[in-house]
Amino acid sequence: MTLPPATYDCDPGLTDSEVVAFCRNGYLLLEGVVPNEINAKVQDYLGEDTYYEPTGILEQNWFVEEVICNDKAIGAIRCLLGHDFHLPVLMSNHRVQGPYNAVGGWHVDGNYRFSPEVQYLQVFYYPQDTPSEIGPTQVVPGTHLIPHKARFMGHLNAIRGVASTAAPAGSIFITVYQIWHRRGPAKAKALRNMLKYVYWRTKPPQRDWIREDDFDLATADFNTPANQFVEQFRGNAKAAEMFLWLCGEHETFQNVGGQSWPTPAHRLDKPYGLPEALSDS
Amino acid sequence: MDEGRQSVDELVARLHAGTLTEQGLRAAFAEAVKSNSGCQELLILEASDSSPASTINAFSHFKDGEPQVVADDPEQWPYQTPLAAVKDGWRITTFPEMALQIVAEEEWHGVGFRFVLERTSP
Repeated sequence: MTLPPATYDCDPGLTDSEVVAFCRNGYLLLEGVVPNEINAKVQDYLGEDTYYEPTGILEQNWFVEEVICNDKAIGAIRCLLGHDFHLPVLMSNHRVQGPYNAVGGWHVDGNYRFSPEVQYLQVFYYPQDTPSEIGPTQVVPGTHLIPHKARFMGHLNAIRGVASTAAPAGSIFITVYQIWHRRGPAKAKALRNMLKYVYWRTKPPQRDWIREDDFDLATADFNTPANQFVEQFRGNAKAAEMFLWLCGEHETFQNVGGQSWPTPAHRLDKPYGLPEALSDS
Repeated sequence: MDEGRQSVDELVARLHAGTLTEQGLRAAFAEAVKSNSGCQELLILEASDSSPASTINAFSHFKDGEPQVVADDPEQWPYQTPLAAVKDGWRITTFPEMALQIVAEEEWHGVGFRFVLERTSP
């Protein structure tokens, strides 16, 4: 048993379009990426360590290799946090016993910062099959772009556009920290473990993920689910700003208004306001 | 005969007939007050714009002093607009606070435009 390295690097696993999708939705669900024998081992570990912060699991090499540095997940994290990102140093377990209703509970996690910057990512891992019956986390896609305060959300119950993260064992979902989420309702009498941990950026952002030859920033789809809650096209601008920040081109972001970029439209030519730095991407 | 449960018309008829007693009148008023003293029921509806005819984006229901389970699927919500709830007997007590929507031109706060409605549970 050795302590995991503080930082980590690997090949990027997301394309331009996938990074844009993350900016639109605020989360990425990777189903069943952790092998079943590891999931079983994690369940055994959590049966022994029932503390809500079983941080000791981060000292288990098998866990670090197969979960924290999971091939599929880490490639995505590499794209969103840049190279040499910092690995988690704290593990939380949202261990809950069903059944229970969900009649509220929406929140953004503490010490949030609503910003186009992606300085850290909150990641969730299900070591067991987590169908809707045992209360998978619910998120509201796009709400990482909508400032809110947890204490102002106490009255909220059903929200249009909610998405369940119901998924098989070994699933990992990566979120922008400030996305609105809650524990979903659970009808089954079952114990649910869900591990939650955070990775950190250590380097300035740059567009060093997998480039697509046919990616065109002028026509990239920034139509985020956040648009259902806000003024028309405002969500597009927010998602585009986050993408430019991730590209290391935040200073080139502009929303000059009207039908300018990144407002979606069928145009004869490049949209007015398209950032020059990436206009030939 | 339960004088407290009589209708106004019946009470007036008894008044004209000279048969309405002080006890009967007091009982009728007591019953009227009692019928309006049930537990307050609340809907908190976050709509897509400031019109009570606009689409509901978030639905919360409180009844008998408890938050109620509401389906995740908006199609299953009992009302699709605040006005649909009004047609069903709910009364709007609070219109959206617009100031919260314009804290900054480039920023937004919350799900939408909050209507609070109430009625008295039977």
